[in-house]
Formats: sequence, C-alpha cells, structure tokens
Amino acid sequence: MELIERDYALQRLHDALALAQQGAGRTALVYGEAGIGKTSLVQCLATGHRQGRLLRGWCEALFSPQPLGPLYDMAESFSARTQDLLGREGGRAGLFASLLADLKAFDGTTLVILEDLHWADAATLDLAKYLARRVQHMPVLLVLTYRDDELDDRHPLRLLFGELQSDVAVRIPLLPLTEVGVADLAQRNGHSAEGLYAATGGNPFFVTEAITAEGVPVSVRDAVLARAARQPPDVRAMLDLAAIVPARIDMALVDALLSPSRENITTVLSSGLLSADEGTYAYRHELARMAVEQALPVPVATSLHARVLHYLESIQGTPLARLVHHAAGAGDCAAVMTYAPRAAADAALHGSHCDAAWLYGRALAHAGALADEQRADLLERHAYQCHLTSQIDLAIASCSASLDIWRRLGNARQEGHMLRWLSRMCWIAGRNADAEMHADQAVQLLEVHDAGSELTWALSNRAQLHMLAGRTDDAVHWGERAIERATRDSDTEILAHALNNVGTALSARGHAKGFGMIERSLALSIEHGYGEHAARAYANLTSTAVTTRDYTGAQWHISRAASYFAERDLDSWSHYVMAYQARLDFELGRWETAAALASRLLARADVTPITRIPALAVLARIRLRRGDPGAEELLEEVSQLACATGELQRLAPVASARAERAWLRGEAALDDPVVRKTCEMAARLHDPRALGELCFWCRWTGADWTSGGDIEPAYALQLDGDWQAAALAWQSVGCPYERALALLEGDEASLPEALATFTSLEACATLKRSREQLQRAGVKGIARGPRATTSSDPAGLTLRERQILALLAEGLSNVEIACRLARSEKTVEHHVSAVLRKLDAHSRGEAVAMAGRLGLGEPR
Amino acid sequence: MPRYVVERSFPEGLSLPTNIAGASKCVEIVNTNAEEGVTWLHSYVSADHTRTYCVYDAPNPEAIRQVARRNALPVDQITEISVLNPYFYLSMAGATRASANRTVYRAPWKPFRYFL
Repeated sequence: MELIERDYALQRLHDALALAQQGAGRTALVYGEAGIGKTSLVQCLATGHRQGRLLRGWCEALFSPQPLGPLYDMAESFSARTQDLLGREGGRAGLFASLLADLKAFDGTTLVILEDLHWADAATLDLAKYLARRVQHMPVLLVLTYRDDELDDRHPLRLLFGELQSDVAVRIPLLPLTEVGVADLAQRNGHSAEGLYAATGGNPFFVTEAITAEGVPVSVRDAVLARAARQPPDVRAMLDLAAIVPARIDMALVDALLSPSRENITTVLSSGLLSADEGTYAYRHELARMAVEQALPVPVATSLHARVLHYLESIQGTPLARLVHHAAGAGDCAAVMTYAPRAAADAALHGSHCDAAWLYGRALAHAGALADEQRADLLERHAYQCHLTSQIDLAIASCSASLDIWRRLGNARQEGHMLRWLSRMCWIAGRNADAEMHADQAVQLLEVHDAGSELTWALSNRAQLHMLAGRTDDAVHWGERAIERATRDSDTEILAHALNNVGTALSARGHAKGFGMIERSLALSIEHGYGEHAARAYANLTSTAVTTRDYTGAQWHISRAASYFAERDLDSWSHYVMAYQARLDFELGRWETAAALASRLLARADVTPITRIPALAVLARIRLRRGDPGAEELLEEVSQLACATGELQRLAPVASARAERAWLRGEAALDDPVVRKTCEMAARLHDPRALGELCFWCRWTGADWTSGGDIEPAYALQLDGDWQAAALAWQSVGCPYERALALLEGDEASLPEALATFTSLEACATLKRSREQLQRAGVKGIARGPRATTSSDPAGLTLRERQILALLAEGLSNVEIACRLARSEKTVEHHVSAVLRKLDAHSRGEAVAMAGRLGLGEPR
Repeated sequence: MPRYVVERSFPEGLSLPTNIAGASKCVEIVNTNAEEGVTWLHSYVSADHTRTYCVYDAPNPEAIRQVARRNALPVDQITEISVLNPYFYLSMAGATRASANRTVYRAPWKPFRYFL
C-alpha cells in the first residue's frame, strides 16, 4: 500500500527504529482522529521491519475491554514463564518484570506496537506506562497509537505523555490530507476530485470510502451504508454479523452461524468492506463496522448477539469480556449475572480496577433475582473496586447498601466488617466525622461478638483514625490492642498495619521507639509482599521525620522509598513522598528546588488532596515571603482542603502560613479564624511543633496567646527571649529562615545577618516587613554596621538596649514596652536585665538616673 | 499565560550599550528566558537608569526568579498585571460615541524617550 503525505511521519518512525537498533529505545506516539491512517502508517513500518521481532496487540471497543487484551494477542512470542504468569492471580509486577526480561533477552530489535489505546483497559495502560518508562536503554521501539480527540484531560494516557521526556518520546501527530493529497488519491483511483476535499475534510478513510460511493456522500456513515446496501442478502447477513463483533470476527464463528458459500465469501471480500487475515474477518476500519452496527435495527442486533453468545459459550477459553459484551447486547440478564462478576474478578486480578468496578456495576443492575447474601457480597466487591479507582461516592453507596443487608440478616460479623470499610471510605472522602462514627460502631459491634480478625482490623482502623487526627494516646491505646491480638493470631498483615499506626503516632511526638515500630511494619510488609502497606510505611517515616525536623533521617527514608517505588509504579504514594521532599527543601532554605518540585506536583491532575496540601502550602509560603503574585489563590485553596480534613497535620502548616501572612500585613494572627481554630486544636493535642510555630507568630503579631503545653525547643528559647540560643538551635537543625527570624530579635550585630539571609533567600516581603518593624521600633542605620554604634556608647549598650532605656525613662512597664516594640514580654525582660547589668543598676529607676548622669539621651 | 511587571533596581545605574556587546547581552537574556518559557516583552527605565519596570509573560513567578538568577539580574517585586487600553473604551459603541467623536486624539506633549 502506498501512503500519501506520510513521508515525514514514516521517516521519523524509521529514525526512532534506527536509534532503537543501537540500543537507545524510544516510545513513538502516533495519534490523530479516527480514519486518519494510524494503522496504515504503523503497518507500513511493521512490513519493513524484517530483521527484528514484531509484537503487535490491539485494544477493542468492547463495553468493558478484556484486561491486557493486547498482551494476549502477542503472548506466543514470550517465554513460557511470561505466558504462565499471564493468567495468574495478582502477579502483575512479576508479569511485567518477566516481560521486560524477555524483551532484554531477545537478540535483535523488537518493535512493540500497541494499537487503539483510547479503548485500553487500565492494566494495558499500566503496561504501556511501565514499558515507556523503561525502554530507553533497550533495543526496543514501542509504538502507541490512539485517537487524541477521544481522550479527555484526565485520561491516564495524557498523564503518561506529560511525563515522558521529550528525548525518549517521539510524537507523531497525523494531520488530514491537503487538498493536493486528496486530488492525488482520487486520481490514482480514477475518480474525479471535485468536491471531495470539501466533503471529507481530508480524512483519508473518508476519502477512500467516498471514492467508491456513487456521488459524494455527506458522511462516512452514508458512504459505508451505501456500499453495504448494494450487496446481495446473504453477503449483507455476513456484514451484519461481523458488525456486532468488535475488531475481528473468527471465521469459525461466521461458518458456524451462516455457513456462507464460497461465492459469498468472494463477494464480501471484493466489496472492500471486509478483509481476511489469519483465520479472522475484519472490517477495513472500525468506523465502517460501527456505521453498520449502528444502522442495525435493535431486534436484529439483539438476536445476532444472542446467537453469537450461544456459540461463544460452547467454545473453551472465550474471554469473559466478550461473553459479557454479547450477553448485554442480547439483553440476557441471567447471562450477564453469570459472566459479569467473573469478568470483573478477572479484570481486578489484572489490575484493571476501573473495568472491574464497571462490570460489578453491570452485574448489580441485573441482580434483582439474587439472594441477599450474594447481593451483599457483590455490593462489597463493587465498593472495593470503586474505592481503588477514586469513585468514592459510588463506593460509599455500595458499602452502605451491603451494610444494610447484613444488618437486616443479623450477621454481626459482616456488619462490623462493612462498618470498618465504610469508616475508611468516609475518611478518604474527607468526611472525618462519619469515619469516626463508623469506626466506633464497628469496634463496639465486633467486641460484643468477639469476631476474630474482623475485630483486630476494626481496632487497627480505630487506631489509624486517632493517629491521623493527632490523638497520640488514643492511637497507642487502640493500636496496642490490635498488635496484641494480631501477634496472638499470627496475622502478619494486620500486625504490619497496626504497627505502622502506633509507630507513626509515637514518632510524630518525638518518641524514638515509634520509628522502630514503623521499620518493623515495613520489614514485615516487604517480606510478605504487602505493597500498599510498605508504601504507607515509607510515607509515614518520611512525613514524621520532616515534621519532627529530623531532616537527615527524612532524606534517607525518601531515597529508600524512591528505589522501592521505582520498581512498582505506586504513583499516589510516591507523589505523597515527593510533596514531603518539597517541604524538606523548603524548610532547609532550598526554596528554588522546593518551588520547582511543588509546582510539578500541582500541575498534575491525579494528585490527591493529602499530597496537594503540603505542596500548596510550600509554594504559597514561598510566594508570601517573596511578595510574589499568586500566593493568595494558593493559600485559599489549601485552606479549604485542609479545613475539610479537620486533621492537625494538614491544618498546622496552613495555619502557620496564614499567621505569617498576618505578620507580613501587619495584622493580628489570632483574628484569622483558621489560625485560632488550629491554635486551639494544637493545644488540645499537645503537638509541640504546631504549638511552637503558632505561638511564635501569634506573639510576633502582638497577640498574647500561651499554650501551656510543651513546645518545640528552639521556639521555646525564642519565646523566652533567648534569641541567641534560639538562633544557634535553628542553625544546628539547618533552618536558615527561622534562624534569621531569631536574629531579628537580637542586637545590631545580628540584625544585618538576619537581613542578609532574607536577601539571599529573595524573601522580599519578609525583608520589607522586617525593615519597617525595625524602623518603627526606632532602630536606625541598620546598614551602618554594628560595632561603630556599640563602641560609641560609653556604657556599651546596643541600639536596642538604648531604645529600651528610653522607654524605661518614659516610665513604661515591660508589657507596655513589649507592645510598643511588637516583641514578647520575655524578650523585653531579657533586654531590660542586660541594661541593668551593663549600667550596674539595681532597679529601673536607678538605671534611668544613671543614664542621665552618663549623658545617654534619646537613642536617636 | 499571565503577564507580570518585574521591578528591578540598579544602584550603579543600568548600562546596555547599543552595539554588538549590548545586542549579545540581550540575546543571552532572551535565550535563558526561553529555557523556562519566559518572554521579555519590553522594559521601562527610570530617567536616572537606577530602576527598571520590565513587562514579562511567564508561566509563574518562580520561572521569572529562576531566569533572573541565571541572568544575574536583581528582582525587587513581581506583580501580576492586566492590560488596560483607554482607546478600547473610547471606541465602544452607543452612549460613548458622541464623546468619542469629541475626543481629540493628539500626540503627547513630548515624544517619549527610548533607552539609550
């Protein structure tokens, strides 16, 4: 076949293949609207690829696609091990790895073609993603074809393409033919080009259809139907049958149902509508098949589906997705009920959770006649698959429906089990109050009936919610019960879960023992292959290390997590850890890296709120401190997200950002309801870090708010007025911005250093506000250099101390001075005692008198 | 893409000669900007050459700061802006037409200056 106006596209594919032959694998994305010639182009490449191996698979337009369908198409080319894994339960990571090993082991270049990915199931998309991320150093060209106009912005393919580096991905958009191209095509077929370009818009498939139709048709559909209508009835029957089977139809199926004569077969093939290949017939293009299918009267289509279903049922090994497709097409409830749940289980097994959820939903729609227990079971499976695919409202609905059935049947064990799930799903949906309620109900119910592992799970879930909300004692109390039971029953999965919950709760409050428990949970999870639990352990190790400012530890956990995630594509967890990497960089003063990482996460559509919150908070705070535009919008969004969770760990960074904004604007932090609410929550939960940060900003904005509880040591020093010790403490943990804030409370020797730090961080807004504050407090000539001023003072008083002295002379109390200077009372006390010491005075009055004698007037 | 005004100060005074050296400096800046998708549209320079107000298109303020650092240019303040064109209002139909007709379009008192 000769292609028109595709030389450049074909050349780029050949170039990519040539690179692959040298061991620099590439991923080629061939895309364009239906009928634009993607398959023809790829076919042309495949035909010319003689020295290497060709693997080719197709996705089909079934109601719910067969999981890993394209992989089955090419299964014969793989090793026995890979083929064996292909049907095996839950072995996806192993399957992909084995596939990769096969590709590496092959001597020569492999051309892998996955066609029509817009119809792919989730497992196939994961496969495409897995391969695309790994072909760079292999002699493999991966070609992916799809209709780009049928992918919405949130389609998983878009995310994958966004991620592929431009040097390993070759993007080949196919555009409609030009007017000249259309005329050329018409001429080669001995047809007039008149009006053809205007009617077809240059779509090559439409052009070829139009050429064979008589007169120029108004649409592809008209062109195809006109051609089909010209066929004799027996041939028409073959076309109708082939039309209800997506993609390709087995010749055996056509023979069994229609036993066509040799003459009819010849006619159908010469009509140009169907082609024959390796035991199957196929429409020349899916567009043509769909045109014929849609034109079939419903009763005809229904009876054809029923006949196909009947035949396929008699064939061993028919993919379940096909049976469901025809059962639904035939309107056969009993058959849908038989096959849909099995097909769903199959899809779930292959990791195509979206399709599994859809299939369970189909089955439920036909489940009227089902017994209660079976329906409750089906509902639970539906809920679980929906939960895995972020369709959380559907999950909650099915979960509640299943719960109602078990409750009605009086099955307490199942009821408790569903309550625990409902609790988890409500938490994911951000409905924390409901989650707490269901968690309590589950424990109460199961405790009465002492329901074995169900109770242990419920206890661990109870502990997890307490941990997430920052209620350490409760988390430990419930979690330890779960650990005890799980240990007694040797239930390693619950043990891993519960150890993680208790460990995280303890370590977040600085108990070293906690980290040990998470590490044990991690080791158990890795040993037994609990991927999600291991990922959660890495995530919690990282987040608690960052919040307790163990930055070295955090960096180590992040690098371990990265190597674990790299082999597994656990994207949502790796994003969460990346968000904490951004926070770590931010707190260590590496703002540029932090901002770049946070922006990258925020640009993605598939990032969950718990990941978005830290990323948004980091970027908002950087912009606030720099005085850059866009800070307000980010702060608004992150406040809404954090308030919806109601959890201190999400609210604390947001409240600190808002309190700092209040300082920058010269407002009182406690006037902000989010700050006030979070302050109260932090005090109630005794969170030293949140308390420290919030107390600090509240005092700095002139509010007198004391927590009572323990606060982070560096902030405690600062609030005690010991700015020097505080600055040292910040230096030793490695936080330059916080250190500069401490120095800002010091004398004129420390002020320039503080301002220099803000300058180097480009914290323009902080710098401006600090200067204003110093000016208002009467500090002058900050740029003059400290020693000159100090030494010019006979008593060796610093500028700040002279200023305090002046205020003492006015007869102000410490509280009043603190107010005037916007400093804490403790700080003022500290300065006053320094003044008394330097002047060798025993009281404030004596100091003022002494100053008069020494001729120390106004410090201006 | 959002548009920004970037304020910069040059205490020693900005110098950008109108010769090969000046041209290559501009090309260098423009090329560095392009790495982050930043476009420098034009700048206003204070009469004493110590302050500039530069109009930029950029994906976000972080991108502006990043290229500023690579170009060794100072940044005081970044402000997101929109474009207001008074003649757009004058050309609006209906009630304003009469007054628009009466409006005398004329050149400024002095032609504005170009930075040299």
